[in-house]
Amino acid sequence: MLELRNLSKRYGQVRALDGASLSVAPGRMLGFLGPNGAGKTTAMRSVFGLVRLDAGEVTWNGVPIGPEQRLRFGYMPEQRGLYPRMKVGEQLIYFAELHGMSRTDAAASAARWLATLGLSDRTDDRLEQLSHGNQQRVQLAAALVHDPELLILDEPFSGLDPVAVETLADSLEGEAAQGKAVVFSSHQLDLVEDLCEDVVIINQGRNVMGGNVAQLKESSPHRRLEIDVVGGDGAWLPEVAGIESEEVEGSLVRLLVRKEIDLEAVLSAARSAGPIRHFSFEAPSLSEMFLRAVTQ
Amino acid sequence: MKGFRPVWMVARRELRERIKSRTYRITTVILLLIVLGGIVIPQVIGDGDGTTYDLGLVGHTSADLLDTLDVLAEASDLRVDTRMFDDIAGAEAALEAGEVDAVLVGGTEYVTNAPAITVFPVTGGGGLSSLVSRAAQAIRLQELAASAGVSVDEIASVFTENPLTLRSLEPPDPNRETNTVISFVGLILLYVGILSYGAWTLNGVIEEKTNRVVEVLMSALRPHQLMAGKVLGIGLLGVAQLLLIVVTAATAALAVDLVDLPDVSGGLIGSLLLWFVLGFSFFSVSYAAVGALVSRVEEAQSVATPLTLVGVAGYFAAFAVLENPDGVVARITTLLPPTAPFVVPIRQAQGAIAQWEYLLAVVIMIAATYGLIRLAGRVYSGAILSIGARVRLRDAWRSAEL
Repeated sequence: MLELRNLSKRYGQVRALDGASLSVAPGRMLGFLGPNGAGKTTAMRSVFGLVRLDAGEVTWNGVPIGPEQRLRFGYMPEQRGLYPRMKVGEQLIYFAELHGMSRTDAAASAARWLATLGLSDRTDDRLEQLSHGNQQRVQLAAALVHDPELLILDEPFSGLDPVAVETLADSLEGEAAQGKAVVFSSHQLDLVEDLCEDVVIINQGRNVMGGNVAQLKESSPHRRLEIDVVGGDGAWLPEVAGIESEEVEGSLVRLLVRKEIDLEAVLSAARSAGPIRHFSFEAPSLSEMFLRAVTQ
Repeated sequence: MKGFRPVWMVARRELRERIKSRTYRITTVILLLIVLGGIVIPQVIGDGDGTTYDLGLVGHTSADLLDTLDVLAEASDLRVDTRMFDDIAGAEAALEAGEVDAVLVGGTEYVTNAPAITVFPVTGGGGLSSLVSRAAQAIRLQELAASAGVSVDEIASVFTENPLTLRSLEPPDPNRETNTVISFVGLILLYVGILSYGAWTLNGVIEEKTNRVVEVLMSALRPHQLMAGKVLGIGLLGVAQLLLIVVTAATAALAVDLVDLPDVSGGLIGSLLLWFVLGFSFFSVSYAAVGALVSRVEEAQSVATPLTLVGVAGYFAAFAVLENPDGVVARITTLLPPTAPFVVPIRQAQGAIAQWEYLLAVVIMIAATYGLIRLAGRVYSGAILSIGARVRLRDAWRSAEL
C-alpha cells in the first residue's frame, strides 16, 4: 500500500504541493489527475526521493520509503529518458539488474516484455533507431522489467497512437490484475474513466476530488439529460426547477440538471411535443466532474 | 541494493558501451599508430638515406688507404662507394653534377665542391672528407711508426687502452637515459590519458542529464554509486588502453633495438600506472562533479576549463621539474595533488626523489582523492537531478541530500 500524506513543496514563490495526499492498494489502478502545474509530477517524483519535500510523509506498507523499497518500484518519468545508443534488449537487462535481478532473470524478463509490447524484433536495435511510439513502449518496459510491486507512471499515454494506447492499457490492467499497485497521471480522462476504479484529482497542490470513480459519479449532484423529440425545437421545455444549463442542437436538447429534478414533468412535456427519438439520464462523465472540480 | 554490486554494474555498462563505440576504437588505433610510428619510423629513416658516400677516384690510390677508409666508415655506420674516372676533368664534372660527393686525386688531393676554407670542410661531403683525412692520417702514422721500429699493434693499443682511471661523484646509472625517455613518453600518455578520460567522464555525466535517463537511474541508484561506477568504468578502460599502448610500444622498441629489456625499469612502468590511476581518479571525480552542474554538452567547456587548466599547469610543472628534478619547485609540486601525478614519475626516473617523499606524495594523493570523492559526491548529488539552467556550485552543495 502506497500512501502520500499532506505533501508540501515550494519552489521559491511557487507552491508545487500544498497538502496533497493519495493512497493506492495492491491490485488497484489509480488515475492521478489535475491540470498542468497542479503538482502531479512533483508528487510522483517524491516517491523516488527525487524531490526534497518540505513536509509530508511517503510510505510503503506503513514504512517511510528508502532506497531498498524503491528497488521494488517501477517508474516512468514525465521526461522520458533512456540511453539512445544502447541496444533495446541490453538496456532493459541493465535496468532490471540495477533493480537487483540476476542476469538470467533480467534477460528472461526483458525478452518477455519486449514480446508483450510487440518489440521482439527490435531487441538488437539501438533505441534511437525506434519510432517515438516504440521508444515509449521501451520506456514502459524499463519501468516494468524488474517485476515491481508498485508502478508510478507519469503521463504514460501522452503522444501514443490509439493502437499503442490499447496495448499499454492492456498491459497496465494485466499488472493490476496480478496484484500490483498502479498509479498513473493522464489528461485523457475518458481513458482514465475506462481503466481506473479510483481517481485523485489535485489542483494547485491540493486534493479537490478523489475516490471510487463509480461512487464519485453516483454522488455527483448533477445529471446529464438528453432528449430528442421529432420535430421539436426545444420550446417544449417546461419550467421545472433544477435545470442548470441547456443547449439545443436542432431537435436535440442537452441539459445539465440537478439529480433530484422532476424527470416525469420533463418527460411528459416532451411527449406532448412529439414522438421521442432519444432519451438519456446519466451521471456526468469524469471529464465534466474534472472541469467542474478544477475550475471552482 | 547495497555495497559494490550497483557500482560495478554501472562500471560494467560504461566499459561495454564504450569499448563497442567507434570513437574508442578509432582513438585506440590512432594512439597505437602514433606510438609505433614514433618508435619505428626514425629507425627506418636512420638506416637509409645519407649514410652512403660516393667517392670518385682519379689515378692511383693505394689499396691500404681504401681498406682503412672502409674500416673507419664501418665503425661509424657509414659506407663509401668508389668510382674510377679517367681524368680530373671527368671527375670534376661528375662532382658538379652531384654524382659523387668528393674526388680523391692520386691518393693525395681531395677535391670537393664545397668552399675549401679549412682543411676539413664541413659542408658537402664534409663527413666524407673527415673520413678520408683520418684514413690518410692513419696510413701516414703507420708509415712513420714502421720507420721508427714501432709495431702497428703498439700504436693501436694507445688508442684502445684507457690511460686514466675513471671516477664519478655520482654512481653511474646505466638506465638513466632510458628511464628519462620512458618517463617522458609516460608523462605525455599520463597527460593525454588523464585529461581525455576525464573529458569522457564529464561528457558521460552531462549526456545522462541531457537525455534524462538520470531520472530513471536515480530511482534505483544513489548518486554516489552512479558517480563511482562511471569513474571506475572509464578508469578501467583508460588503464586497459594505456597498458595496450605501453606493451605495444615496449615490444616495438625491443624489436627495433631501441632499448634492451633489462634497461627498462619495471618499477618505473608500475609507478606510471599507479600515478595514472591516482591522477585519473582525482581529475575524473572533479570532472563528474562539474559535469553535474550543467544540462547540455555545449556548456561542458565552460565548467571544465578551470579543471583542464589545472591539468595543463601540472603538465608544464613536470617539464620544469625535468630541468631541475631536485629544486624547490620539484619538491613543492610533488606534494600537491593536481601536479603530483605528472611530477613524481619524472623525478623518480631521474633518481631525484627520496623514498619518503614518494610515499608521502602517494599518501597525500590518496587522502586528497578520498576527500574530493566526498566533496564531489555531494555536489553531484545536489546537482544531478536539476535540469535546465546551470546550477551554482553553492546551491548544489546546499541542496545535496546526504
